[in-house]
Amino acid sequence: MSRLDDELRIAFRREQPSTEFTDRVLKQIARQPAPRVRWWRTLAALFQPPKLRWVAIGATAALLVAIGAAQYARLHPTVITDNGKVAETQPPEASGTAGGVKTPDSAPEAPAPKLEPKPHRNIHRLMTVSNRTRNNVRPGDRVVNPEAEAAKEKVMLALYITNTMLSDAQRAISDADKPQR
Amino acid sequence: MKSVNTLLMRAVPLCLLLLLLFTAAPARAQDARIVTTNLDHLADIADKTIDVTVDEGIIKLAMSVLNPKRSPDEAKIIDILSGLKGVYVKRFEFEKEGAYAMSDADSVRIQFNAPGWQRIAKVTSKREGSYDVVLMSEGSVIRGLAVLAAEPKALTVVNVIGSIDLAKLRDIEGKFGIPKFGLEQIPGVTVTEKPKDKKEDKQPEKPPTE
Repeated sequence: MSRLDDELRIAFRREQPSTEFTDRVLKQIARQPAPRVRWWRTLAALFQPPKLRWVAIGATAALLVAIGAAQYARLHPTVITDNGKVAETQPPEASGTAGGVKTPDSAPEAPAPKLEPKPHRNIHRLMTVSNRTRNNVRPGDRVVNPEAEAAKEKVMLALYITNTMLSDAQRAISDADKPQR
Repeated sequence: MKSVNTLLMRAVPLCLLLLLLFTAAPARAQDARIVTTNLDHLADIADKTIDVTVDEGIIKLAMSVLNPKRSPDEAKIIDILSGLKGVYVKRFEFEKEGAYAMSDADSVRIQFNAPGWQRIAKVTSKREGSYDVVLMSEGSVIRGLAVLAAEPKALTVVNVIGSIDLAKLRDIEGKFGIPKFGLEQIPGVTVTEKPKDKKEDKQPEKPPTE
């Protein structure tokens, strides 16, 4: 048993590695191929705290630009003339037209419609003339941005009715305050 | 992955809070809205029905056409429209008096008793009917205006949402005039008119000759 113990002690005796051992191990490691990076690991790396900040900033900026472009396109639609060309936009003072848009091949244009038509207090008369047009737009004239013009007409009508109702209410109040004979 | 979970746990409540704020803001603006859907049945008996709905988008679109440098009136109109968020008009015209029930007008009038509305004018006239004008304001800021005109042959409800300067509105009175296009040609404006039955003019009965 003592001989076995001695042999075991010799076998498990601590021995220092050679000086080339470290270099041999590192060389062996360098020869190994680089581990494959999974795609989801690459994606997950974007959500690491330092990078996530820039990803969020970029996404927010892109969203704001998209919203701004959509709003701009909605408020400034491109007007297509009868020839299928895009109308050139000019400052309102230079063009002299209602919408400030001049078409490329335009004839001398009609004067801009006035915003001060004949006043009409009676709303009933307003309803009866609904089938007649009192505008200055002639058949040959080009209507620029008809959607916006229609919106303007609608708003003017709504304000007209509001004003008429308030005037009628005021008149009724005045009549009620008058001393009855 | 732990950092992603942590970020999600922090971002979700924030997103919910932002969502709540953005939905609450327009919900508050709707408090000045008067419900008139209960008057839709009058369209069946009305001789003429006019329904005008002008929301914030239409107002902005209309303002894009107006040019303050073109005329002072357009500048005033832009000034008026800049504070508006919506204008809703519903008008029913009848051929005869008493065609609609007072309960129809009361169904609108009862909404004027809701918190926030202040009655600034109420007049009842046998000849011209009754007029109710109410205002909703928060401090010095006007949030809405509503007018109910119960005339003998017509019922009109006007609801303005947003801040409106009545003095400026009156200042350009007469400048609105009749729209350039016919009412029916304005998109979004509903005008329904009942076709009148063709009846021969009834001549007065002659007394029997003896």
